[in-house]
Amino acid sequence: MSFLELILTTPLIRNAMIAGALTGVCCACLSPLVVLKRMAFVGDGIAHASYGGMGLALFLMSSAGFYSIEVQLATLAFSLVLGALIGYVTRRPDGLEKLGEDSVIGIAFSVCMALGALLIKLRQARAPQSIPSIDVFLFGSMLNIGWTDIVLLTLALGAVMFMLFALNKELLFYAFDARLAEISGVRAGAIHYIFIMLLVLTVTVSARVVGIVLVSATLIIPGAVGLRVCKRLAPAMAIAALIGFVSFELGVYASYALNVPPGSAIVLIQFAFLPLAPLLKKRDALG
Amino acid sequence: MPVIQFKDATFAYTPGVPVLDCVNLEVRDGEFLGLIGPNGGGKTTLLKLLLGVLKPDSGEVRVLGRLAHTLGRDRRLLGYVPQDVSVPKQFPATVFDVALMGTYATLGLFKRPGKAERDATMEALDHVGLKGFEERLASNLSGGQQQRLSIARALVARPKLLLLDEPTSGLDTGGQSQLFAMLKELRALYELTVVMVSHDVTALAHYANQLACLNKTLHWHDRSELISEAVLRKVYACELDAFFIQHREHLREFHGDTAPAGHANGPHCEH
Repeated sequence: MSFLELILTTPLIRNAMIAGALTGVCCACLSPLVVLKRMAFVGDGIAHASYGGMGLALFLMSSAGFYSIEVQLATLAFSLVLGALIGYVTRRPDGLEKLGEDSVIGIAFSVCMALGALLIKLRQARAPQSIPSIDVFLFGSMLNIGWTDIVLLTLALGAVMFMLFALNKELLFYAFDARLAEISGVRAGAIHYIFIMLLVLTVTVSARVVGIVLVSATLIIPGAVGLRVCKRLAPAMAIAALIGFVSFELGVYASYALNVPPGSAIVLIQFAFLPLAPLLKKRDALG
Repeated sequence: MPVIQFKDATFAYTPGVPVLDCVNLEVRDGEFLGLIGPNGGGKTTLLKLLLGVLKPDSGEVRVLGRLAHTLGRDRRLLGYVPQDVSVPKQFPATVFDVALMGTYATLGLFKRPGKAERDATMEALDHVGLKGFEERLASNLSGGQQQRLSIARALVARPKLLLLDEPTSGLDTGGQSQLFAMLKELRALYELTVVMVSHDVTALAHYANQLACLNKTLHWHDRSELISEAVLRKVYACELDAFFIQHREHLREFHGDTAPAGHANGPHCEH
């Protein structure tokens, strides 16, 4: 049976391909801004910290399963609150005296993961129901993707695309110099929070499907390649989205054909684009 | 109505340690205020109060008749050229894109720049001598060109007031002369009121209508010639002896052998 036939006949593979495409494009579209704003650690921190939200949701809703929609939505709510706090700290580093934003995010990251692990253990003691190991959280589980995941990913991608299209000029000025944008009368504060919330939405929904390690990679590598190839932000986002899409589809295929973990294949395929970037760059006198 | 009005404005980052103490100042339409003072004297804080980024602890700061911190989107009426104008390396925007950013606040959310904004941008780039550079990557410009780009960005929204924070610091002597000559033309073209923070007393004495010296308290006079060496020495205190050695001759040349007595507008407000 060819891979194409397999996609058409096997819902699990088909869902993995669809979710992979949605995740790859969603994360990659934001990645040039993440790279420009030097927010790689913010994305990584949010991704890891969402484990705390998942632990809290599983602990409070003892009958809910790991893959249930309630747990996903509660995790998202937790991450959005955390995102608002991170948004505040990254906007006003003086908000928490003597602690840099990297330290604050590092603390949130580790405390939330510790909280998540603790609460999941307590939940297992109370209701001995099978909860996947932390490996699933770190590396995802592309063979357990249901329609709720695809719906959530589609909504996240829709929100990202809408905001990037509607706020493209404000986001460009914000990435250029947020303080200057604010002084010039652009609502850079609102743009900052919108961007962080988009990041939280994307990271939390994607991490459930592909794991936080892959989300962190996809928030950086496609953007880094796009920015090396293009001299304007919108084309850089388009190139990043294409790399996100291609790497996820090829990665899932490689996982099937070579019997290797899909996450590893996807990250390595993305990484392969980096040395290719200078070759893709158009040599022109103006650039 | 003065374009800028400080009334007994006091500001402190740490309570009890004022950075600006009872500052009084008026700048009228079309004037050019040169603001000098030692590092840490509060020049940037005064600019931040003007821009509405900070709010005075007491007293008031008015710009175009309105309290500066309530300007909101009307901050576009203030063109601001920061001290650091360098474009991040390889930032994905052309010279035209960066200058066009100056129009974004006038457009508001969801609206895209149209022909009027593009024409204003081209015009501003032409006025600062960057015509022909539109499609270049902004970060590939030289330091002096990036500064002119920053001035173009500040001008495209047709501001009433142009604020420049130490624009001469990264320029050689030729670049400084060009900058002042260009500002003179732009003032006339855009009917601007200008406030410039600089250490270049000589150039400011030539070009500014008003010169104010700031070191926590403000000393100013309507005519730049009337700021005397005595006032400058008082403001800069002992740390700037080298500054005076450097500038004494220029001041003498400008004021004649005996510098006139300056007017010190020191603190007199009641706390």
